[in-house]
Amino acid sequence: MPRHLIIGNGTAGFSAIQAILEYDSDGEITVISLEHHLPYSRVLLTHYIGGHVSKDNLYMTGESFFKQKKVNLLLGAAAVNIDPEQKRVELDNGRVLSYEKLLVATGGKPVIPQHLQKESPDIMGLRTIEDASYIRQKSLSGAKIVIVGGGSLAIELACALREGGNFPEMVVSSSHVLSRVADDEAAAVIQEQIQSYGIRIWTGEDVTEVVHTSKGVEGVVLSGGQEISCQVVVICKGVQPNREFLDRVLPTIRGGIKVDSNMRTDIPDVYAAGDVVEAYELSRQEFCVSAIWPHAIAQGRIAGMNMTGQDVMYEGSLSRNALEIFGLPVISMGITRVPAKRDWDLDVNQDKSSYCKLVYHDAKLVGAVLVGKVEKAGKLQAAIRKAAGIETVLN
Amino acid sequence: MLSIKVDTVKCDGCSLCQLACSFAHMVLNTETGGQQKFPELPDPLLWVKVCEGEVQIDICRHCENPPCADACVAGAFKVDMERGIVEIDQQKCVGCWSCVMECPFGAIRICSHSDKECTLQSRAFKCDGCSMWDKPLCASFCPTGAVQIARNNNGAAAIQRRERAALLQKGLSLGAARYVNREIKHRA
Repeated sequence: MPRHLIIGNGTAGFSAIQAILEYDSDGEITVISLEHHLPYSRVLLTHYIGGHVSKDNLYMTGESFFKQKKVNLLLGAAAVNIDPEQKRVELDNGRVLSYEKLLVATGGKPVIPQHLQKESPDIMGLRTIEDASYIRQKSLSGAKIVIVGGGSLAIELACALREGGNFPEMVVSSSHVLSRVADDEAAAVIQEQIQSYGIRIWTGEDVTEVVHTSKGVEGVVLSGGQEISCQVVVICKGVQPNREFLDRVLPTIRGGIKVDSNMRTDIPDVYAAGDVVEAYELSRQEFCVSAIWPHAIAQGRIAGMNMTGQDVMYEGSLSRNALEIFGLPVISMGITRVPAKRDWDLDVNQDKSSYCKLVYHDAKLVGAVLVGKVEKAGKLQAAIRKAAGIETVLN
Repeated sequence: MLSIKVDTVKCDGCSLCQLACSFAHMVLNTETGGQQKFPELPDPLLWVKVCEGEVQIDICRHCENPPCADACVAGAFKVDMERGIVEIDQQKCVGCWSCVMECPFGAIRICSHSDKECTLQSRAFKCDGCSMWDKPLCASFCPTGAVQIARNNNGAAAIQRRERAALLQKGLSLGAARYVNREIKHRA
């Protein structure tokens, strides 16, 4: 019986493996991976499409790591059910695995709106190596690509395609790109930068229909009535937690798996980490799904350590994002959109090459948006954490 | 690890440390075959800024639990306990700005040289601990003692060992230290 069973082979799962090995070096770990890959960095996928990173360099580790550390890796298997009483996990291939401690790190999957869900390989999200390879290959063969969504993944993909010589078009339902993380002023600068490289952005529009014939995708129809001809539609509308197999034992109305500050779920000896959980968000002071890399690393580590019998608490997440748009860096952290109320205060500095907005609530720093000059971002993040009562020990 | 102490009260903003840093790296590179071409002095790996009468010295502290390394999506950061430094593998770096967003000391920059021959273009760079010198030159040249660096290649430097001992006394394991800062109320 494996002492530690991990469902999911992504960032959080891999971080947990490292933590478990550190504290329980003969800990008998088994990892169940839906994908037929060693753990790889999803954040690098757009860099792979843009040609900055080779496929080999996407991987976080080699096969030898699993052999050396005697971590049992089951590729191409999915968990379909958990029996918390018997402490067993049932796989789709019929196998049943027992556990002492279980970690659910199944991550997320792209949100594809119902009316766009069609049986076509050319209507897709971007989440896996296969997705990225497909988009890269289509891009290199000169296919016209429409990106639905205006978040950071959509922008990174647009930039990557453009660097590879492709001219994608973006369809954004909000009035500007990055509507969740940037304010109107920063978004205007960012949007201008994207457009100046020849990428067309349709704002305030939705894709109402994908024109799809026997030859494949031929175009999309926008809510305003315009038609854009294209061969591939990539939907970047965020991710949703992969947690259906848990519905019977951990019912939920929406959102991710609830965890406490030790990353434990409501089921004894079952932990969860990464994009699949709802964790405490420091600036908003509420529990929410915040699917970003540093959270997956930290949560995976905390869960892994606690699985080995340590007692470590997670300080909470601070939502944040860094991206570069053709040489223009953008970093946003914490709360960036401010309700028009008292107790909220803004400090905005703008010049030709940069934009900086600091957001205060009750005289405490709770958020920041930086465009152009971003060197002080780390110091600001430390200040936001400090205002939230967190001091970080680095040494 | 390298023990780096920065006391900005002592700093008068002369920026000699920055200049020493540039020279330290130029000498090394020309001696090792001169493969890199420097049209001018290389960029320093630390930064001194005087802003409204206050001095800031942005230099990497070579943390044992570095948030930059946790944030790196390309596996480019490594904590080298033997040499006592946090280093960046610039071949792996993709210049995504994540480390810049994390460093609480503002000690990492992304190279913006437009010079195509610059091997650092769009990659992260920071203090490399001056491994080729007995002591990092910034500290050697600092006339006021604002930057003090001690090298202890055998492990944690004395000051950090004391901190670690204090944490251990509180019953915390070392790797956990970063995360045990505040109790978060369990979800109702």
